[in-house]
Amino acid sequence: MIKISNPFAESTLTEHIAAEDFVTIFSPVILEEASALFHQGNVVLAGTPGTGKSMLLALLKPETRIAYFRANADFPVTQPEQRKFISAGINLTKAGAQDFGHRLAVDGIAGEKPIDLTLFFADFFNYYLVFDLLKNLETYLDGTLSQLQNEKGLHISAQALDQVAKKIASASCWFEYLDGIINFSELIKSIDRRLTAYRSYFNFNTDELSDEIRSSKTAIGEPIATVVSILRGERIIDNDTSVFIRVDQVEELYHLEAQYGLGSNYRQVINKALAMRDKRVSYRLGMRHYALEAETHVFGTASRLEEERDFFIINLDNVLKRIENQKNWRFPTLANDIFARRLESAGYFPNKDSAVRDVFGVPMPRDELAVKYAGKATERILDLDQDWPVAWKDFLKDLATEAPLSAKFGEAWARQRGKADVTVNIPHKNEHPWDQKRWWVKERNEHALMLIASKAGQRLIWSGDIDLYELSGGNVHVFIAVCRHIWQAWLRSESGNTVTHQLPKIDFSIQATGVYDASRSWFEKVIPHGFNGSSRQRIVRELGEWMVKRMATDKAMSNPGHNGFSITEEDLANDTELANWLNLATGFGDLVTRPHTTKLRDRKLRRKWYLNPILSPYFRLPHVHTKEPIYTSTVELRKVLSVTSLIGEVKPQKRSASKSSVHDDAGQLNLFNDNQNNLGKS
Amino acid sequence: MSTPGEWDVIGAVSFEERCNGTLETMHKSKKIGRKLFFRINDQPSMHSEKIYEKTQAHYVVAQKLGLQDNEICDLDIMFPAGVAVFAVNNFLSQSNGNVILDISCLPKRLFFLCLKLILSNKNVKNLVVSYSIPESYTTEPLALDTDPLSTLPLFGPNEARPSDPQVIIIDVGYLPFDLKALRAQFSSRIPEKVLLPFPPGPPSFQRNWRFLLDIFGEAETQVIPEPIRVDARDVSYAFDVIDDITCAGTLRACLMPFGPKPHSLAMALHLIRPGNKNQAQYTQPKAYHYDYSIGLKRMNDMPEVYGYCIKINNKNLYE
Amino acid sequence: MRIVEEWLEAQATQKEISTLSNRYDLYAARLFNDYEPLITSVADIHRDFFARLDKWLRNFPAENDRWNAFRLIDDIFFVGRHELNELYRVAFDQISCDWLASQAGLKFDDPNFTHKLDDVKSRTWFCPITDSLRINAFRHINHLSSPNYFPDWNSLAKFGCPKKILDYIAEHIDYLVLVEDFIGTGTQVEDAIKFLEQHIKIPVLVLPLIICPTGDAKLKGFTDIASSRQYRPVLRLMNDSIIPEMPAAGDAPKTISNRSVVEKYRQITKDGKPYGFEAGFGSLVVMHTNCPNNTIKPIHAHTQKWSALFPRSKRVKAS
Repeated sequence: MIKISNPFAESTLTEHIAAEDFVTIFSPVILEEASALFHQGNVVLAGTPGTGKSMLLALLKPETRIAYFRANADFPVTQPEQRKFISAGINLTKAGAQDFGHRLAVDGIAGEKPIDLTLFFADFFNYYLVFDLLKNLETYLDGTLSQLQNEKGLHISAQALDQVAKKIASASCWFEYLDGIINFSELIKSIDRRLTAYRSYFNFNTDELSDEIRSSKTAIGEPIATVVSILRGERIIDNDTSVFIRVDQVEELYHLEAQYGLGSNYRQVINKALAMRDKRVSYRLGMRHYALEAETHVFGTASRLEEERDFFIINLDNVLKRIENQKNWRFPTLANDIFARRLESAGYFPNKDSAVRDVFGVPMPRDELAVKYAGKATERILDLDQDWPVAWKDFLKDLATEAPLSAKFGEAWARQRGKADVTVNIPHKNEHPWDQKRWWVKERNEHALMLIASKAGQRLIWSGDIDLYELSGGNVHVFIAVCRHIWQAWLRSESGNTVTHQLPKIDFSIQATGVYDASRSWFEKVIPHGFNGSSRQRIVRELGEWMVKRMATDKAMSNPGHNGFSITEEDLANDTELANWLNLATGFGDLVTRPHTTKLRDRKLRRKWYLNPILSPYFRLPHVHTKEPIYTSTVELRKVLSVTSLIGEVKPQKRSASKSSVHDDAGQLNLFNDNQNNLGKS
Repeated sequence: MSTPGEWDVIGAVSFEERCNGTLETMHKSKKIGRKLFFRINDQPSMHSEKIYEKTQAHYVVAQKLGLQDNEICDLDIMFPAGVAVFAVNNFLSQSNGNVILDISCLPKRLFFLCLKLILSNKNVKNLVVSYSIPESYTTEPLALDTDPLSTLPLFGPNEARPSDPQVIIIDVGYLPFDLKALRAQFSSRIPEKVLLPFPPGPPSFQRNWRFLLDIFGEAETQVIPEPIRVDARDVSYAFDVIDDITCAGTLRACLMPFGPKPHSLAMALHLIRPGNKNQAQYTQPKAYHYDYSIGLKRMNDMPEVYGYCIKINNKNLYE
Repeated sequence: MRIVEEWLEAQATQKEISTLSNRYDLYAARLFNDYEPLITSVADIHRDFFARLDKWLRNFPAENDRWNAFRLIDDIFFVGRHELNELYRVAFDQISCDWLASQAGLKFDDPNFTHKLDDVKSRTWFCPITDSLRINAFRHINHLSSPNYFPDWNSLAKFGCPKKILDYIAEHIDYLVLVEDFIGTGTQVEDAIKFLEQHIKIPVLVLPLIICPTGDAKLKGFTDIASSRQYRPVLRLMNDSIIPEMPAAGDAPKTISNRSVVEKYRQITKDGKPYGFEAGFGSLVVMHTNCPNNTIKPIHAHTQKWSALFPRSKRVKAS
């Protein structure tokens, strides 16, 4: 037996790739949508995990560019002016942003005031970025990279760096901390010393932070901008060489603030850097949606950030999600590209343009699926009203043996308002009135299949390229996970047989197994592992079961779109607790949301939510969004969610705003201040 | 200050019955000196009421074993480190040099902190870490809602710009954590090593394998490294295994202390070793299940409590 | 189509099958596929676990029984080679050394402790009780090079000359440690124990790696502090790994379900001892070297009427 591995193992490879792997794994398909990354101006990359945030930010790293160069491979960014950049970066998790909270003074016990911690953080942030930028420039001293220096407009030599170090050190932004520096090496050491002093202090290795440091804290954003100015002035970098500052995992600040009740000071500090709109540098922030939406105040001022003016958002979830016109949907191209690359890396020889379809085929036609679900005992799929005429019931039973899907439509048709006469005026074969209502049928295909499968006790089947793309919801991470589970199911089914490296055509049944495994795994393992995961899981469970129940009992199939729900914006604004939970779940990709054009006469602005499509198999809900979602209210939703013990049936009284925020704004959406004490109230 | 021959004890008043294991074991010997017992307040959850009741009940027992009110320090579960540092340093400043640290019911972010402070305190000449064994653990999820992965207080990165570790060492336990989030911080090429607590046998045996699946993900069998089986109660062997993996401390390791506390103790000792370049990441639950552990195991009517000598006669046995 | 794949099509069982299949994927890859009796190809028996599983499930005609059998796999305690190695180490490093130190009156704060313990170890005779224990593996794992003879004491009890043994002991040995890999009721070690009690006067430690509750109860009687005899197992099996033949009021649902599998086997094969070699109970233990004969028969019996899941090596060629 040849041991065949799973080409889709280690799905995180798509999220965060070592520079050397980048060249073979990175798919440039998404780049067009994210071209703003390579232009001037601040950009926020927002998205749930698996949308490629970190991968795109990694493209800006010097080691990535160098890896492509050394591999003699084409860098995916093709325009010369877009390649002319350098960058510095900080990953807030890796850099230890959390440690700042440890020195918070509590109940009079020696420590730092929140405002001081914020200023230390800003100072640390500044020095860290300058340190990273200078170290990145130092990389180009390597003689083999002279071609890259030309590409980026760099003029780096040991002498030049020593010269510029003196200028940098004498800048006023340091408040004399770097006075006396005479060369590049000393500059690096001094900055290192300051950062290490912070480390030591926040690790309690030292009891004090020196007065020298305390009295020379820098203003957010100023040092890096000053350094870049000097680098341009001294012609170390060309005037038109862009400088990008990467800040990844901004949501880390959100957690830091929540953990220690620090309001939103830290995020406001970052906001201030964006608000400066400093032409010398451009910021690139990677974060989850909830961190972005929850705080827009600018530290130390009364102003707020404005999209378009202060920053541009690339919403990666929107870029890849399914839109009306399937022809313009980019995700299948991206997914197919990644799929083919993975197979190649594993020793297969896929057709690059059709790899997904070659292996998984196309989705089963709906009527075939219905036949599959119905099996031999076709009568069981019907839910016949007792008082229907016998002839009508017999007609449906007979129809079910040949065309169970049509029979199910017939059953629902008879329950439609004004259509009951069909039970008496039984149509001839192939003249079914419902078959003539093309859209009515199309809107109800998935609902009908759900009901048929449920009655027959059969699992729902998702298979074929389109189904898998749609279940992935435009998320590469999810797509790879689905492929991985399908491949594993296939390997299991073949275990004991001889398997070769010939590209398999995986049977729909095996695909259905893998899809369900991926869905169950997502619900049971992925959701709970994240921040507030077990709470989010409970919320998703209740919402999912609520929608399933509604659809399962809708024998008339009047509401095939009730695998989603809609609430007015007004309702949401008046119930921040509920809105926060929905936003948190959305921020982690458990739910997907978008504006909803109401069909009601009140014309109130609404928003609708659906489960992440990957959860559909687990809950046995159709994943397709059709017709109208459940028109609901926060009152009803509270009833549904009250069993989670996270949220009460009744909205709490309005509380006074938290005092720990610089801006005392009760209306400000802030997930973890006032609402934290409500968590878990049974 | 305690008299010579007595031992100062740092422990916890907890909803877990085993929080009194060390006190009970030492009670008859009359060798208990001063005490510092932390009472941790979880974040409100659906288990809060039962947790409160059980904590109260065990507090009453602890009082009968000699614990006084002024020996208790209340802490929120997500305490800023400064508060705990102050309490522990203050306690140690008046110690007679003999300390028992009972880690049975101290949250890891607290016991790691205590251990570091104790070992760096010149006052302390003898340190024994104690750990009591429960009868069983609940089969339901042990904890609710964890924070994202982060470094443990007092164990943040020491370098200005932290380098990536060269190996990730995961100790398997019963708390889920997001391995993908950890990997996202580093290059995907960092090898992972896994410690699997064994013995004990079933039901822990099956549970540990299931949690291995939880951590790495289903359908990822081929990327799960062959686990290194390490007796759940063997601190020194766990220490040696980590030493071996890190080539006697020359490799930078990221330690993930999710397994049994004796293993976590071994990891903590590695983190405290002078000159080490390791880091630890952990995801702290904000609230626990009220039956996180059940009962206190007994052998011949005495609590089953393990004592691990860390420092004897001013010599750190793990340096 | 394999039975499990058929089950996957049904809505009601989909979740459970999905969960267990993924779990068994991991067990198969890391544990089950290392089952020694199937390392080389054997006629009529699939080396692949899932292929074998399908055949095993088809032993049961009724769907319900197949389900119970499928679930039973989750309770199997598979002692793989790595588990065995760790059991060897714990037996030697922890239990034996702890006992030896205590017997020799060594104090752990003695600066020469290690040296003195090495000396004691050099005059300790580590032997197996039966030929089931792989004494060579035990020696290699624990770096034991002396003395040169490691007879199993069952054989000594049968064929040994007491005088020769005692003379050897008098010259070379101060302590005796008898190790056994698996003890069920203790019947198989009875002769060796009797021989010990009759002839050996030096301190003796009886040290099973794994022992069932019945054997544990029996061997507890061996301990006699006055005669320096002790019994200490590494791992005691609990109820999770034992299926008692007689139903009892407090039986867990899993026990009831697992028992039904054994009874169905009895019904189909007419095997009068379906619980294994010993009457009254059967275990769920599978060692990577072989199934113990106390393991329930449905797991390891391989006959014309029954396909085994983990065939016991002596039955592999039966047709």
